[in-house]
Amino acid sequence: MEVSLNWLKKYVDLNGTPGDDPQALSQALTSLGLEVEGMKVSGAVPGVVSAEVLTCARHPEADKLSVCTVTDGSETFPVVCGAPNVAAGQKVLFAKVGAEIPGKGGEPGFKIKKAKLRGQESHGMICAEDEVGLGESHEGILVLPAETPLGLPMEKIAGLSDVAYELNVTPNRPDALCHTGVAREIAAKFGKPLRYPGEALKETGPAIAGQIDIQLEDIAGCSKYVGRVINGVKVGPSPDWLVKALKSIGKRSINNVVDLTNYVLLETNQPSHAFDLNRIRGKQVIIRKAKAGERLTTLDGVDRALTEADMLIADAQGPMVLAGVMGGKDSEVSETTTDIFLEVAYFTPAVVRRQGRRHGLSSDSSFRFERGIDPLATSQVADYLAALIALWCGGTVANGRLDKSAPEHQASPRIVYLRPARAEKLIGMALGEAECARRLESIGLKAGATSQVHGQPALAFAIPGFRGDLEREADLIEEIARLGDYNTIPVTLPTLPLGYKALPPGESLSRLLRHHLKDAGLNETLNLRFSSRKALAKLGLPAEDPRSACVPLRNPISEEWEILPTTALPSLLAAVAYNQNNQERNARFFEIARSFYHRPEERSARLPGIWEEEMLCIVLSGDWPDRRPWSGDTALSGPVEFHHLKGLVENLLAAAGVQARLGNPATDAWLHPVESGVILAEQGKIPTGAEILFGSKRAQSKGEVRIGSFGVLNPRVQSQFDLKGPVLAAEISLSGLLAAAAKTPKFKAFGHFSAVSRDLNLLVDEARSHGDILGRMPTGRVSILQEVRLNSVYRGTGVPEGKKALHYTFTYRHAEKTLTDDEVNKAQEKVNQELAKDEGIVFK
Amino acid sequence: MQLIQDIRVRLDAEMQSLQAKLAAGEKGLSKVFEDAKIRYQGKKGDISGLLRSMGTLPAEQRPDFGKLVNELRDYAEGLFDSMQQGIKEADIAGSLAGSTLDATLPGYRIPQGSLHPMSQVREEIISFFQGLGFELAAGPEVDNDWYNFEALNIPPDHPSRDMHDTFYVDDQVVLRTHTSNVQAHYMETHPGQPIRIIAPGFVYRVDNDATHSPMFQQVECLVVDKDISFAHLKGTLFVWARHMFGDKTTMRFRPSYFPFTEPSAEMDVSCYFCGGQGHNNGQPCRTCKTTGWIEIGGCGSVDPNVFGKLGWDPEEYSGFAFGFGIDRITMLKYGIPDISHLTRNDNRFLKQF
Repeated sequence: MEVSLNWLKKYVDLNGTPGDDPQALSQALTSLGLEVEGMKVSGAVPGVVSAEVLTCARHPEADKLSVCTVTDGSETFPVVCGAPNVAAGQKVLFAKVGAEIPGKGGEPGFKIKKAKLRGQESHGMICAEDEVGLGESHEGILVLPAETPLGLPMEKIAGLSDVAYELNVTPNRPDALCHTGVAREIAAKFGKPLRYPGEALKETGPAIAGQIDIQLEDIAGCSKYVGRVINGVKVGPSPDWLVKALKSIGKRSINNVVDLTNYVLLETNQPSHAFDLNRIRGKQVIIRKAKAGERLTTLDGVDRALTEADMLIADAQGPMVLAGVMGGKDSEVSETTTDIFLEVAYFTPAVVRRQGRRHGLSSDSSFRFERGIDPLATSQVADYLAALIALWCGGTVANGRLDKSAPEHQASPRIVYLRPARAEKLIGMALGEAECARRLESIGLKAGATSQVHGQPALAFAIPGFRGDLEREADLIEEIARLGDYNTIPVTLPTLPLGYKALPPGESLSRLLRHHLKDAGLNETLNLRFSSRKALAKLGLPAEDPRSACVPLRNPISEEWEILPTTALPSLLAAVAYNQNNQERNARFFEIARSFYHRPEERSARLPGIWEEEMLCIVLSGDWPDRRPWSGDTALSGPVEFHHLKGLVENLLAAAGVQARLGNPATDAWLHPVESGVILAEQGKIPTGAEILFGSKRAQSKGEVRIGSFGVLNPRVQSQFDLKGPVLAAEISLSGLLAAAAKTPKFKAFGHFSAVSRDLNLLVDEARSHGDILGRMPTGRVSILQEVRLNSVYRGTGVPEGKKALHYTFTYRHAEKTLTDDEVNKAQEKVNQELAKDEGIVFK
Repeated sequence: MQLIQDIRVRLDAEMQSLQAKLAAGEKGLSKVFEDAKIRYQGKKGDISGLLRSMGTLPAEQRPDFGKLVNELRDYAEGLFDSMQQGIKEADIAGSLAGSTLDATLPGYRIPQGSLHPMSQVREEIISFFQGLGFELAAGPEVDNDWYNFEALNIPPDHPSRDMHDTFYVDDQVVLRTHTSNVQAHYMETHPGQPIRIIAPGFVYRVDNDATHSPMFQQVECLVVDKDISFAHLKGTLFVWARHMFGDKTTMRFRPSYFPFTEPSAEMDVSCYFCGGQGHNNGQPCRTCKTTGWIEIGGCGSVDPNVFGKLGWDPEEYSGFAFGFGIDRITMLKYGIPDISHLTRNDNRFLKQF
């Protein structure tokens, strides 16, 4: 909302107050809660001053140019001027050498320099209004009043310069959507009286009765409807002051009648509508709901189908206006209009808001109606506006005012009680009853009788109609705090009992994991929690996968962001692709992202039926970081592999203290069918997230629950995302980890006697797995066997094609004695015998 | 006796010569030294020989002889100890001087990743409020209209809904537009208990341009007790602002409007790039756009209607709430110029933090 400083000054005199400085006024407005978002100064170009044309003669060599001398009162300048209206004796705006003339309509400006025009010296420029931002006209120079003193900077010349403030008015303050409303705030701030506008009404015309009749049918939508008639009006251009006032805040002039209705709206906040009386059929104005099938062409030229929910202003034959929102073409005031029917009404805020939304329309009027205008001012504004129209457009105001009210219409000021003690307690400072009352009365409230509320002394306040937002004591307390300036309220820490709240387990776990993965060399990402079915489809999930049942948004920003993600993997994989395209091939990312699963069976009056699950997602691509860069040890670097990710998963499970087993392969469609694994946690209770994703039956039957998958990305998925090189990914349920997280480790005694080791080389088929062979070892039955370590998997010289050699080291240790060779050999023999039962294992 | 004296002279001469070689920087003296030590102190060495020969002496000479041999033994031991120390020291000095390591080569670092700058700021904020005794609370990101709007005194068809460009799942279900929904959930489930919560979380608005992201992170803070005032709100924000933006930070409160607080305010802090001056060394400050102030967030006292909707008695309880954007504070803290960096996941961005 824009307000003009010159316009505000009609209602409040800021002379001698700090508010006289436009910058200080801007800060004052912001401190009042009317935040200034922009300030446009017009009519103040530095270097432009008032001056007088001393002489003016035709240019000897150019018909259209004049050669003048101009004085600013102290110096005289030769000036060549091209304006047809320049003449000696005029007071003009003179741009001196060095003045910077602003550009028009976004064009660059220019600087005034000494020049020679067809042989004549010119040391400045006499300005037209468009050159100094005062208007559009370039027809001639701007002539100032004869009494203007010479040499005044432009911004000091009375009435020329102005400041338009762009205010951010919050929805609770419709009263500040007009100039008198803003002026009221400023007047209160600077302790100045507010001058309300007024114009004496003379009802010299014929009686209104017989000219028009009002039928208020829809009292739910319109609680008050006031009509006035002005006869014999001449519709035409507006007077200069009116055009200028509207233009000062960027409004276009239309004609004198429409401009006056707009002016009064911007002055008092009361919307009104002027009808061509003679185009109202049947001399009837009916406020009613629309009927099915009715149509209305609004002023914006759109032919609208109306619904039965719409409230109309109709005549005997049909719709004229979409009430409170926009007028219709047919009843509009035009140049041929001579008699006017003037509507000043109070429409129900929610009704106007709904019909504006329904038709995608917002107007200056609807904006104010839906926020709530002054219910007590309707008749008064009707009289004032009628008087203004008669004054500026000719004609006479018909005798009498039609006034239809619903019984529910608020007809007198609301009374709200304030306990000053309560205000002091909630604000947190001593104020006193008198100061509370002073502040509230400065914005138009009237203090009345004292009484008791909740056993405390209270003051009654009459609330003016324009402050419909002040309904409760709390509203008054806010006004007291606001008018005193929040910055004067003390800064005090509350004294509350000591208390400690540990972080919730989920937060502790996710913090631990994030720091762990960071230390492991991964970068944490943050993806927008929007996705698309198209992106999801790239994972190739089967229809029965819970991730396929995603939640779509009703009003998405774009097709790419049309659903809530059931997995962050597509976003993370897209991030890897983005980085690969930017020469960042080693993307190692993780994110604890929220996934949203559709659970319609859990929908209730208060629950949305959507399960939100934190999922840890990891993606690895490019090379695994070389731990000894520049050492030349090639064995330490190279593309990321399955076992890098597996090690990472094992480590993070250990860090989280989770008792879990890795099984392989995973069956997830997005993973490689062989080079993948699942995380199976031992736990009693199955967390909901894991249950949704992996099902409950299977988990329960094995006494362990699947809480995540990891592995090499399925090559089909990799190609869908246009990814290069090896890419690995994992997705792990945080609630699964949390449910499985183990207790604090308990100390186990370790022997002080030295350990003995034995090595074993086994030759097996390529298809045999380490896990399988490990499973054949009698680890539990040989009590002194402490550890079986795989040293190497060897293929090459000495190992036949299709086979591999596994080198194991067995560590033996006794808690209470040093083992003898014989004891160790016996134990190892037991292991060997067990392995020998497997015909596929050959001892080397 | 002469024998003892001879051995002693020989030992002195040998050690002096060794000392001289050591002083001259000769290498490989350890072996020479060890050999010499064995020759004197070893089982078959000279000193042991003397002790063995004691049996051949007349009994009356034995005590004196023994005493002299012991003296020699102690003397030799002292000599050898000091010699050994000298050789060891010379060895260490030699090895130190002989190193050719290029210490300017980069260290073998265990490769480190990074935490997203927003999660770092989030943790910092949580830690601060945890220190004040606040509890971390959370709420759903997809929520019922009731918790996001109605319980917070934002009825349907209210113009203040225009302040929220809401994503809808359906008529009743929205993506939360602010973390204030946590207030509603928490007050509903903790009736009549003093409340001190901090609730960071992602929120959503239909907005996407250079300064707005459709998903951003807010922190909500709520304190409810008997006798909580607006001054307490200012006090709490003040200690936080000084922690976050430095000891010289000042605050400014401007009246504003949120349906769930009253009085409502916007809080600004003095720009910590220019110290609230609006300019740095004569250059206009780009962070605060020369205003000297940075907008941080909205706050206010809990509106009585919110208490009422959630079953609390506003006559008995009062409280304050504030909320601010983690994105914004992150961008300020690290000087990130464009909000889209935060969710683009460019490795060149992520690696910096």
